[in-house]
Amino acid sequence: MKKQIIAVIMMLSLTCALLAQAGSPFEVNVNGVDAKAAVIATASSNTSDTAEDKAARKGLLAKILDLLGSVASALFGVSNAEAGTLDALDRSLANMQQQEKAAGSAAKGAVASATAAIDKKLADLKSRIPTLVKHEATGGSSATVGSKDFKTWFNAAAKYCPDWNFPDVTNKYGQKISREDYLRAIIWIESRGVHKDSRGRVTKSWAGALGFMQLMPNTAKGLGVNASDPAQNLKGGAKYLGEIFNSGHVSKKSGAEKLIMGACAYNLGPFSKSMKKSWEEFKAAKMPVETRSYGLKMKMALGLELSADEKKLAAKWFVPSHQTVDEFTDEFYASAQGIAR
Amino acid sequence: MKKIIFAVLIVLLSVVNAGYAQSSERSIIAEMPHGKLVLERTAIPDGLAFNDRITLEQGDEIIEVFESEGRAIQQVLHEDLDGDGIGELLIQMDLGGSGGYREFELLHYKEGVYLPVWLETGYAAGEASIEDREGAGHKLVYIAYTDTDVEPQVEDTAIFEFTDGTLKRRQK
Repeated sequence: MKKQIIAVIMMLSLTCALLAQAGSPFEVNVNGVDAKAAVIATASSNTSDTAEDKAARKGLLAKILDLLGSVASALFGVSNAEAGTLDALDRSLANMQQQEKAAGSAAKGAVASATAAIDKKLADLKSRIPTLVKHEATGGSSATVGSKDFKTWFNAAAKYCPDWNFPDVTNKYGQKISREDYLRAIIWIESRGVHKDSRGRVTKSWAGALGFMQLMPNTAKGLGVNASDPAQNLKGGAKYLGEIFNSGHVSKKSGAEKLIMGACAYNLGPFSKSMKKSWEEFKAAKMPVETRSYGLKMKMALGLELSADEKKLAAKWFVPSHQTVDEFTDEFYASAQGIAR
Repeated sequence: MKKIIFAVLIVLLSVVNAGYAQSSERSIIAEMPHGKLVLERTAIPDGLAFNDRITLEQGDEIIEVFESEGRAIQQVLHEDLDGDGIGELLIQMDLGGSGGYREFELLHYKEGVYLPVWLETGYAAGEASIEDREGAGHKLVYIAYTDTDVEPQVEDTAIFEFTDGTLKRRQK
């Protein structure tokens, strides 16, 4: 850069010297530039100025000025042609800015309209969410989802939920399904929220499963919990779900498939070879109806849309005859998701 | 002094090791001319998975016959079903789910190896037996279970016959 500046200064000095000899640059006759080489030779050998000499010097000065122009262009990166290009670019930029301004207001309008449509859809979805059931205490020696201590037990169990390798799924109401929602669903499906009846008897299935989460004695032992204690029972269930989501065949699944097959695994067992099947294969396979129903109930309890084929199976297997599948689904969702709210 | 520290360290290491070690149970299923069938039951700590396995011990050589892959082996029956004089293996496994369901696998002994030829899941609280109850000269597989597919559930027995290299259920 320094060299370039020195060159410009030198050029300017030379120009000034020539101007001093040739007079004003504004008097330069462009026709005189032809004899430039001869003029230089003459100028060096002959100090007396003829009219021809003066014209030649003027031509040389014009050339030097051109050269200076080039040097300046090289220094500042702008040639005449480039300057023209820059002008054109400036004009294009101005046009583009105008177009963007116009397009910007059109895009803003489109975004506003799309946002309004989404808001409307969301409001519509929310209006379709069944009113969640507020569970009440049942009195006596009972332990249910309505018991005053239930939220404490639930929150203690939910501390195990963050460990689950849980998929991101949004339900038909536009709500993201949380781990706690899943825990609520299992409690409702397994025991309808009853751990002990009013006489203090722990809910027990024909197979020997106990309490809120219907833990089998061996499973409870493996989880290191006392299945008869309501808080420990919930904790055991949450740990068991961690086992299902993090190891065994279901852990390799994803999305809603993982949620549904996770429920089937809770009922059948996470290490059964049948858990390798997809939900589509599983619901049509020669598997216990109870386990296949469990998958459908989980979809209902989480607010996942049932296919026409699944609604037929639900009607056949467990929906009471006095209710439609949609009525039953709404009631089931409201009861399950109303737990610990 | 050094000896005392060393001894204390040994004791501590033994205690820690015992706490983390998998507890195993070993039992002999059958002793045969070609080897000894052994069941080893191992619960994996801090979880529900079981690492149970059946091996065939032939002198110093141990051949892996079956691995439970997380399931808990509850019952192993060793009876000859195909009439070749060497017993097949019927394995019943507890799955640990809230429904109380089981998984059954049959390993057929053929040409010196045990091959898995049949697998069924379900049969809540199922218990298997292999007998010739009909006195027909060949044994059948019986699985007593609770049928949960009907309302209310009922106690039932599924009967299976060994045909064409696998088990086939007899119609009710």
